[in-house]
Amino acid sequence: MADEMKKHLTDLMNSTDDVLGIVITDRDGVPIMKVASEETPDLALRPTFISTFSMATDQAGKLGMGKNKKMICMYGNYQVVHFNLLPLVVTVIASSHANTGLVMSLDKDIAPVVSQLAQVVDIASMS
Amino acid sequence: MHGIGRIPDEVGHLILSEDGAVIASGGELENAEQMGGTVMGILTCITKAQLWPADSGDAFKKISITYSDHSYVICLSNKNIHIVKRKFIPHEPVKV
Amino acid sequence: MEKPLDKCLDEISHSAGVSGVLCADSQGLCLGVRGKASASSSGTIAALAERAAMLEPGSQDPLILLEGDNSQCLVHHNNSITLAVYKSPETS
Repeated sequence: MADEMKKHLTDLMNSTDDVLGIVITDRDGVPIMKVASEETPDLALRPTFISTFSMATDQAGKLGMGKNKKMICMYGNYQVVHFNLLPLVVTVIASSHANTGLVMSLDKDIAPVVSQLAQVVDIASMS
Repeated sequence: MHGIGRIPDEVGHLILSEDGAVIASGGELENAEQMGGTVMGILTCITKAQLWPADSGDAFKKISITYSDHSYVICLSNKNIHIVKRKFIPHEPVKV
Repeated sequence: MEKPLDKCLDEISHSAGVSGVLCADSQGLCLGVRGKASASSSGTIAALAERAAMLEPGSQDPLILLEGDNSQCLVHHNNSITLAVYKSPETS
């Protein structure tokens, strides 16, 4: 099953121009599944970077506008889009000239994978 | 075999399999493999996202890509992707 | 600031036969949407226009028409802005 999921993510990554990597992690930034091309900056795949998001999304949720769903971070050469699909977090790393709208719509393609993974993670955390 | 050469104003055609391999080609699109790749890119782009709301139960059947003096028509038939390049003949303007 | 665009989108969406209209920028972000078009498809529409322009890199950007049984979608890219117009016969 894991191989299938990984293939699905790789296909998604390759079918969207300029997307460099997709990482599914838990809220602490521990990677559960990762696909990345060679150009992905290592820093963006590190748990320290990704766990910052869960803090930021928690804070953003307190702004009184409801739960925070997505977060887009623009950098000089890269853009990082985080999807808040708690208990899991999806991070998509793309180059800065990638189609942000298309990257944002990846969530509905990734969501089925994440919900399957979330079940597994839930069972593991309960036992 | 496929009668694609009898389309009026046709100047070239290309038939791709579902995975993008060229099955047949002719006219101006003879051996236009690169174009086949671009068309596959367009198709994956469209099929992936829902352009129409799901409740309308509608799916696209035909794609036309129109330039000032010619157009490409892409459609799916018999599990193959047919691409036809035609000379463009301006239609009656749509009454608005 | 966006008033002229809003006015333009309103005008298009009230034309006969038009059931929806969407405007996206070069980043695939939705600038405005009316009718049955969905803001979440802005990325796809911008990507579609970009891909179609790759078909003939030298020529002017083409007009893309997607046809279904009951509706049509016209997509055109100009000056980094992509406009999609949805048409269905029921409203004409």
